[in-house]
Amino acid sequence: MQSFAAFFRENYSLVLGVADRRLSSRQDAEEVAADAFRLAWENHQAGGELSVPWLYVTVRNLVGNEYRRRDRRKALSEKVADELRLNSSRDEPLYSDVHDALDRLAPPYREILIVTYWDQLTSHEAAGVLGLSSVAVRARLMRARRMLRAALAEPVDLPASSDVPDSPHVIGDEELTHG
Amino acid sequence: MGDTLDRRLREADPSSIRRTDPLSVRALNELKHYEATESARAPAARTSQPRHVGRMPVITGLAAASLMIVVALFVTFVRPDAAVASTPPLLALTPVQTGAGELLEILRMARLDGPDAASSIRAQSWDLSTSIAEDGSIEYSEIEPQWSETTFASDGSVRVKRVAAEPFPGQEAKGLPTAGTVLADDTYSSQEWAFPAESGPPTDPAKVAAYLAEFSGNPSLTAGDALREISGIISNYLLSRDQEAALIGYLRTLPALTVAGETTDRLGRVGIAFRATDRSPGEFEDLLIISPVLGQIIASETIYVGPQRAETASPAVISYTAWER
Repeated sequence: MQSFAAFFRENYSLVLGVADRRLSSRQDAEEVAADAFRLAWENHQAGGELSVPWLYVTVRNLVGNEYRRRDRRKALSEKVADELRLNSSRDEPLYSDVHDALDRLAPPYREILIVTYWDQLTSHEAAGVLGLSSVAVRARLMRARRMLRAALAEPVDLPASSDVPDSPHVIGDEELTHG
Repeated sequence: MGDTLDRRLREADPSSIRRTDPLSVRALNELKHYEATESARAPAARTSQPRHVGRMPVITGLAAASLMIVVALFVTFVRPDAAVASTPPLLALTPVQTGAGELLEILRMARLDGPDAASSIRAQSWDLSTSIAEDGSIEYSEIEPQWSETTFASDGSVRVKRVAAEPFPGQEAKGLPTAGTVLADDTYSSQEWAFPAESGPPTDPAKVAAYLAEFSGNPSLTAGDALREISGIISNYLLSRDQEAALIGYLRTLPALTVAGETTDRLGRVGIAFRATDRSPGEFEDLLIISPVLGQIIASETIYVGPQRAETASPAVISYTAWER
């Protein structure tokens, strides 16, 4: 059985990166990481299994809590949209097209790209988080890559979808499916 | 373009923190406390916590206890006006007296005598697609049943066409694409296709366990895990009869696999359903259905059997695939 210390050592930077990526604050990310491992410790002491999927979902829950805390403190005019991509202060114009393209993907495809390429979860770990088989993760990732490539090639100022007036074209929304 | 896309995607990461980064000073201090506590192995260690620097934790104990439930169960649906998500009817099962081992051997032999691989994979499928909401909960969205055809060209490219199928009995059709609507029609180059033929399963049943462990990245596959991986393999690989027979032979080695019964699948075919309940006991059951005539694997399903919730009936089919063979 893996020791908690080994689990901590192996996964701290994963947790820190997941939080930092979404909170745009190293300090807040460190707080989230500390909370996440404290919860993992309590779970471990209670006989729970140490697993990356459990830890990952815990971090995402804590990030969600931080979003709500920030929302309560910010004035309406300063409210930052709850998007996976962080605020523009960190954005590099060089990659704004990638971020825009990601934003236009349907959530399952955007998510699989981010957890794979940015959060750096393995297929097996992503499968555990999403409740999918590893084959389904691979298949979804393959389709997501194809959709991202299409989104990068598409002009940004597309006409709104006829089914959803005044909404941006969401790529992949028509065929949410499994592997 | 594949390598360029990968590179650009990685470089567009808004965070500079990488999974393999060394631990910070703060992290090392926190780690020291956990190491000391583990080393002590004292009963008091159950309540010991690292000295928390900074804000108080933002998650309550009650919220923490609910996390595992959030991981496993439905939370939000994209169609919030539906009080309960509509799901396909359960398949009717008739008990079979023969045990799983004997049946699977009969089916394996039948498969070896059956037709070899076709040139395409055609299937009808449906599931609740999963994604992670911003608060970390798992979101499920209802989709319509889909018909798909995967065609393998001699140059290694693969064409995947998906078409909306008819809603299943009882499913609200409003908001879903009309049956026959082409949802996707993509051709993947041999470099893009994630399932090259050479990575397919072995023809020796004794080697399948190791293959699935490596293929899935999971050295501790449950029987339910194995059924789901096999379902994915059948959806993405043109299997020879030897390969498919090997998979069926491997199933005989799974003590947790039982015979659920004889059934008529969603395409009207008679099949023998095998069941696994060990992937997430009390929450999900996985089925694999094999034709008693040709020994071919014809369908797979996952059933939610957890606690009844406001949004979800129980038991409820949450995914199925039926291969036209």
